[in-house]
Amino acid sequence: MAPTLGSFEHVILLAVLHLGEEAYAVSIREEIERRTGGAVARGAVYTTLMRLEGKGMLRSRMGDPTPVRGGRAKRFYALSPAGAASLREARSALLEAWPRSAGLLEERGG
Amino acid sequence: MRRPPALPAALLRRLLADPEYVESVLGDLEEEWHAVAYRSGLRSADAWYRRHALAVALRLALGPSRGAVEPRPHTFTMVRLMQAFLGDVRLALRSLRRAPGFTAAAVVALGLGAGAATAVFTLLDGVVLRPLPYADPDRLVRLYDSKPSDGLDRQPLSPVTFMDYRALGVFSDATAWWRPEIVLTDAVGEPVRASTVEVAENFFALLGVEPAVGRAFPLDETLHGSGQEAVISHALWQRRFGGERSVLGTTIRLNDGSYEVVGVMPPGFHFPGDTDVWQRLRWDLYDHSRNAHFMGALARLRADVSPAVANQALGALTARLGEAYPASNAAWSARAEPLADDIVGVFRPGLYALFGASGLLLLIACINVANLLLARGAARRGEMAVRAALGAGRARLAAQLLAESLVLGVLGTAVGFGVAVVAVRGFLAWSPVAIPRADAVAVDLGALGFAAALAAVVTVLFGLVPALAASRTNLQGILRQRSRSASTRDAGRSLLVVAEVALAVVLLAGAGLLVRSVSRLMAEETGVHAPTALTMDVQLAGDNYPTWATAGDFYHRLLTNLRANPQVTHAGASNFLPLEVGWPIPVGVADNAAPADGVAPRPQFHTVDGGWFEALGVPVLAGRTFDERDGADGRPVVVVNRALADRYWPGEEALGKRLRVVDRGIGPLGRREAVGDEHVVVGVVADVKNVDVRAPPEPAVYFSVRQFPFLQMHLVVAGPGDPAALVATVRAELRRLDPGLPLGRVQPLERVLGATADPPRLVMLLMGSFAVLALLLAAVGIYGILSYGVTQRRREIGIRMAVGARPGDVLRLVVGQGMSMALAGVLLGAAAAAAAGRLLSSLLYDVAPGDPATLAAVMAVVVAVALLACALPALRAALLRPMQSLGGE
Repeated sequence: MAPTLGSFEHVILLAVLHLGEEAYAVSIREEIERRTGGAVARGAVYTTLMRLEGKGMLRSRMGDPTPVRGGRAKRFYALSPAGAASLREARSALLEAWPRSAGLLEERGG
Repeated sequence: MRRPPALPAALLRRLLADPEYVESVLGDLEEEWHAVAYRSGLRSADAWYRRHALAVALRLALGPSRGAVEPRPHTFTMVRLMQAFLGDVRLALRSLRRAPGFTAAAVVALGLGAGAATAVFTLLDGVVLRPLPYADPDRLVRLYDSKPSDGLDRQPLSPVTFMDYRALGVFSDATAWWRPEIVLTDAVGEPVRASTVEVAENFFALLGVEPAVGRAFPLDETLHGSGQEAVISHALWQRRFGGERSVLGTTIRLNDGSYEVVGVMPPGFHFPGDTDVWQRLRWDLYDHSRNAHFMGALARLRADVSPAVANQALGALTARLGEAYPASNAAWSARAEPLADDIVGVFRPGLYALFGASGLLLLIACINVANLLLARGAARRGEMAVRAALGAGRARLAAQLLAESLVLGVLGTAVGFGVAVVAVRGFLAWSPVAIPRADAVAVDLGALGFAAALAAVVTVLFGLVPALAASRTNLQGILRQRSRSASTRDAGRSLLVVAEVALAVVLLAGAGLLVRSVSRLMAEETGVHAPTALTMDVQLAGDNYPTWATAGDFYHRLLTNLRANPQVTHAGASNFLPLEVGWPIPVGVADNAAPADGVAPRPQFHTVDGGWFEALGVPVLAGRTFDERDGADGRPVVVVNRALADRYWPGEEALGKRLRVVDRGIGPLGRREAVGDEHVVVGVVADVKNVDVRAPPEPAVYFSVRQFPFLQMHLVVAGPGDPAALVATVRAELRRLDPGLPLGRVQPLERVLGATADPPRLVMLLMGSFAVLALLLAAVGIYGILSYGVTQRRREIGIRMAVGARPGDVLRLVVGQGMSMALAGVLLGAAAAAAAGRLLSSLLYDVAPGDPATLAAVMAVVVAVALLACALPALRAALLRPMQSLGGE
């Protein structure tokens, strides 16, 4: 079984999945902000990307330098097989857990 | 293209190990910076960038290091130590908060000391230590001619002689330029004066700096070409052409014609001086006179040649040239001076002296805080004893006290850093002196590192001894010391106060010596008496004034109109300001025997209008100055100064004597004085210093502006109203004669005359403020130890009074104790100052480094201040009531 995911790790992996070829720190953060509507700290994105790469869930490669970045390259991220497996596991765990819990939440009232 | 601020990038690079990773993060940030800049402008983008780059840097530095997710080994020991340390710091903060007066005093003292040191370090670093922004700058040398027999030093070169120097073999190459002072006009807007030089084609290559946009001039063997090309500065490009690339290939009009802009230099490049436009040289350097000294020159030493060797070679060459061309080169010699010395040389000794002074001030501040800590330690003996009794070991106690010192040290240097930021900024804005490379001076990472190192050093300096002393406490000692009148610890504190006073004396003596030399420099007679006059530069555009007669006529009319204006009391013009060296040109003295050495005398040539001497307050000693008779068609006449009359016609009447042109003419504006032309002396004026304020005046010949005109003249104008009104009046008169003509730089004449005193004055002002602070701190030190002593000795004093001592006796006792410390410090300090004064000798003028009068004055001041510092505690002791003080026990 793959290591369990923190919730922010989960969100980041999803964003990488959605962005496909275009996933790098800036686009990932914008994607998350667009989906959640809240502000995300850049530093948190960097440390989490680093940690996920350390755990083997993400792979990174360097792109081509561009002038708007002062001649610097982008670091693109992509899901590794382990990352994809973790996401799949997290999804099925959630799906399994929810049908049993949804009713309980309703009982407590809004 | 504009880039985001550089500092956060440097920080990130320093914090993180993986360079590729850092670059990708920086790329992200720069990309977003562009977006923010597009939305909200550059200013807020820069602020945004700083904030977010810093946040990211902190997060990444504190977060997992790249590649290592497992916790590192030994974490537990480290964590325990960290926790103990943080606990000590918390404890220290609490205990300092309970003693706000003590904490504030310590932090302010340290802040002032560390602030002064950091500020001076920043200046030293930015102005002197940082290498010049040119390729291999240590091998660049300025070339100067000098002729000691005429008092001429650091003179420009003749282009012909320059080519001889260049061929010498000790240089890998050499380049030259001159400054035609030009008005820039173009389609963009109002004409402006742009600081311009005409440079040999290898100028940029020699410095090793390439244009940021476009190209430099093509290289020819002869260093000149026919193309009318110009390279402009980055600042001018931004200011006047909006930073558009399309400036390349456009035409700008300089006053002698049209030039195509072919390149833009990188930001900050303005060599020499504040140049904004570099024109390509268009004439042959060989095709000129060896007598005309007007070229600036720079050479690059060959890798295997030292400046000393180059100077030897130049000496041998100039001796040979002197024999080959006696009429032009006899008695001239040349010198190669490292470029860094040339640009910042005068400031180097001053800044080093200030750095030393700020170090002394910091030392005094540390001593003061150590003293405070010792006093506090004495007061806290009970607390320490209780802690020891509860089982805290000596090391723990010392560690706790050191943590307290560390907190003070960090707070103090943080305050000091703030002080430095404000001080440097304020100083650069206020400084009366133009400081070279001032735009590169900024409180930056280097200064931050310096301040951090200072924090560590001062903590150890003032913290260690008190910490060890206090941790040695034991219960028995407390009981014993309660009844002792003075402890060995108090002796130690007295020694610290003596040291403090001594250091303050050293600083005050340094400041005193500078005050004396500056006041002597300022009092030096220049020959000029025009306290309210302003100088203004005017530069005619050559193509509007094609002949010398039109230029001369313009100035004649301008000055006649100005003098008729009720807003103007005096007006005159000259091509050289006072203290500037005129053109040294050989003349024949018609009514005198040939000079003994066969070399024609070479007085300075100045061109003035008739009102010049009156505007400067220079008396006419004989004859007259210029008037309506001396027009272009009139008889050629000159006015000479007294130095010339005395040297060439000693004991004779100078009026009516004749000076003859003996050299191939170097007349301006195409006017060639023919060899043999004679000028009759019609007036003799008093001397105006024309070399340096410290040197006697040299012989000078004054020509009328209508007979020997120049395009550029300095006006000297005085009026009854305020300076702004006067400038407006002159501007209006200029516009009436030539609507397109801008008025150049305006400055008070006094400022021009006082410029020599600027570097020592700058050092004097700063060192003076350091010295005053030092004296204050020393006084506080004396006051502190005495008033502490009086509190401790209330009982003893009470007993003395009870057995018959009168208030006067007590007063003498306390004052005697204070003054013995002060006098010991004053004597020690005076001895040290006499020795240290020599370090200032290059800044001193007409004052010996060990000047007894200065030392005596300083000693008197310190003794007086020490007496004041003694007075309060002594009075308090003398007014004690015996019963009260005994009852207090």
